[in-house]
Amino acid sequence: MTDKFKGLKIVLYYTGYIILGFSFLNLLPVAVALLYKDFNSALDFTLNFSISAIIAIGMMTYGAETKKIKNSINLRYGLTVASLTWIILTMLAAIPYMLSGHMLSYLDACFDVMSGFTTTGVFLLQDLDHISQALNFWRHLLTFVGGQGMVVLALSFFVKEMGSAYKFYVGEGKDIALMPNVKGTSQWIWKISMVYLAIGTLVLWISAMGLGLQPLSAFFHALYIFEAAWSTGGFAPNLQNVMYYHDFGFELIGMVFFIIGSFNFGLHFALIQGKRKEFFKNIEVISFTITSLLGTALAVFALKNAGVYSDGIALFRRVVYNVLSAHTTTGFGSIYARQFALEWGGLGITVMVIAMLIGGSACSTAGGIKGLRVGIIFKGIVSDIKKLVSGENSVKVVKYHHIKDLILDDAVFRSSAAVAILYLVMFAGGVIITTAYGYPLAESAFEVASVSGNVGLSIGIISAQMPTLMKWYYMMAMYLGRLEFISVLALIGLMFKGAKQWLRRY
Amino acid sequence: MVKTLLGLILSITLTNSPVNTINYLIEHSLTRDQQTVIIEGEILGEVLERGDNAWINVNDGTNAIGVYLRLDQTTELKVFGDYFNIGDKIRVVGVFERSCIEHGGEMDIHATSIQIIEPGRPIDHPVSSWKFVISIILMSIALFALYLKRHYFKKAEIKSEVN
Repeated sequence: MTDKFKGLKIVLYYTGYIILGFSFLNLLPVAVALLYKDFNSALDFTLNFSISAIIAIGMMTYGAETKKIKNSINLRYGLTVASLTWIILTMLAAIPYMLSGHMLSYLDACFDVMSGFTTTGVFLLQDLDHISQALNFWRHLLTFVGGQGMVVLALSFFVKEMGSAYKFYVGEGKDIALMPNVKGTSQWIWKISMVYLAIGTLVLWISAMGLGLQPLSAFFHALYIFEAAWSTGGFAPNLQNVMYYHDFGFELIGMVFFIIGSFNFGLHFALIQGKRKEFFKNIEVISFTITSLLGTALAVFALKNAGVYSDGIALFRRVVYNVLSAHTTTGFGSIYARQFALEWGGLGITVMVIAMLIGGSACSTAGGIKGLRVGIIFKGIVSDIKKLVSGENSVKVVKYHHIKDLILDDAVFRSSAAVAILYLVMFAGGVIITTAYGYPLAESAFEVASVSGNVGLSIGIISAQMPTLMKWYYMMAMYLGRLEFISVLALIGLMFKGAKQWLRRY
Repeated sequence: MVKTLLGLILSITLTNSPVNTINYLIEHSLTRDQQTVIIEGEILGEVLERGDNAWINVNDGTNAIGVYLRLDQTTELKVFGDYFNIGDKIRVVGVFERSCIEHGGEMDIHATSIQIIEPGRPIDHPVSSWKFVISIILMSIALFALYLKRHYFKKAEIKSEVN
């Protein structure tokens, strides 16, 4: 392979491969559209399939020489492929949105797709209650696939074609090894998700029929709610989100699945292997339990004191539900967006902001700083304080349990702290921009924490009418938050290098 | 019977009262709590039956809200809004609950009366001919490209294995 544009060719070849695989997903909403005799929507997705496939094949053809060096690809290229794939797929998956006539602009369509892929759940789509079944299917499919990861999906099928698989895998913010090889790990992630998909959809389907929905309609509602819950996405097929169903049982089932979905795939795998003790020893489970209990207790205290909710059931359904939805970065809302601003008060909003920023588990479908990092940072700080107080000179090894016993050294602490700081910087930047447009501080913090942590709850700022700069920033925050910075930094680095080489040449 | 009569009297009394938007009710939920209000909007989805009662969801263009009513009140509702239909537009007279004790703290309206003010109608989704033609052309190109890709890449693989 010649050195000229080598990096570009490698990146385009593999990005093309993933996009080609993804293009076939368009055939699912085509089938749904045909089921409803909705030929207009069927054409929208046929068009998207064709455009995606043509672009993918073009990219692969340009980088065809890459096949010869598939086992010696630099990590930088792997990370770049992951981040570039997300951008191009966002642009392509937005096409059916635009063709549906429910978007005010292409930027809004990209915003919604990015929100879906990153399992955020906010949207700018107009008149959600009148969109086609095929488009609703597409919205929830995107969030389901995005939750497990597009690259993970590609690796499950095409690992033979994608040498140096690990370098692509880590690019999507996942680093857990369930099996000795990446293909096995990717396939296990999908196996776990598909088993839950079958169980979850069935349980919700039965429940939805019990609510009075017609069997076919109940099936799609169940499928969508499961996909959004498991992926901690927070989309729902109707404007009222989970309030559409008016049922405690239905909310509860969804809640169970979004909590399970926010757990690390490594934990799921350990439990499948019969290692039940892992659940009680895992640092992420401990961290999530502590922060959830603290968060819900504080929010319940705030809302009870404010006299908003009087009885236990109401406090559970309207307060505990929303705090857990925020903490797991799901974004299902059992109250109206504006109720947060009008009723929750300073303490309630602060709890929500912190819960959204912490987020769920690493290597799960959840976003945020992640329980693992919070646990590591907390343990590291406690250990440092202990060392200072005791004045001991001896070096004490600090351990934590995450699937196995691990040593908490400086490098682990530093990398966790670095990601947490980057999150907080991104959050601060978003708050500055939002407040600069005149929005109140608490509401701005809520909205920016929601997009940075890939949550999807809204306090009422996000709308198609919000300033364009805010749309761009929120999209970037969702993207960076989901890929956890490193891959995107690799993409930016490669772009700068390429531009520098190009300038030197000409 | 008494309830129906009271509802009827109330709805006649409130006929000239101002219609509130759902977003207005949310924004002013403290002052409107447990007050009789009127909203007008399109019914969505399906009737969600709960024994002798039921839920319907009403969207007035600013937001959507759950309306709790007696099951027999839903019999006159014919068209529910979705992709294929604009639902019946109804006028709901009922008690607005900011945090309904009966329904787990939900913000809802307990209807005393409902009335169809504009019947629903189907939405036409004509298949655009340009979309059809472009789809056929692009699909042909995509399938041809997939065929070429299969052969080109297979050939290149054999060549690289030989080398």
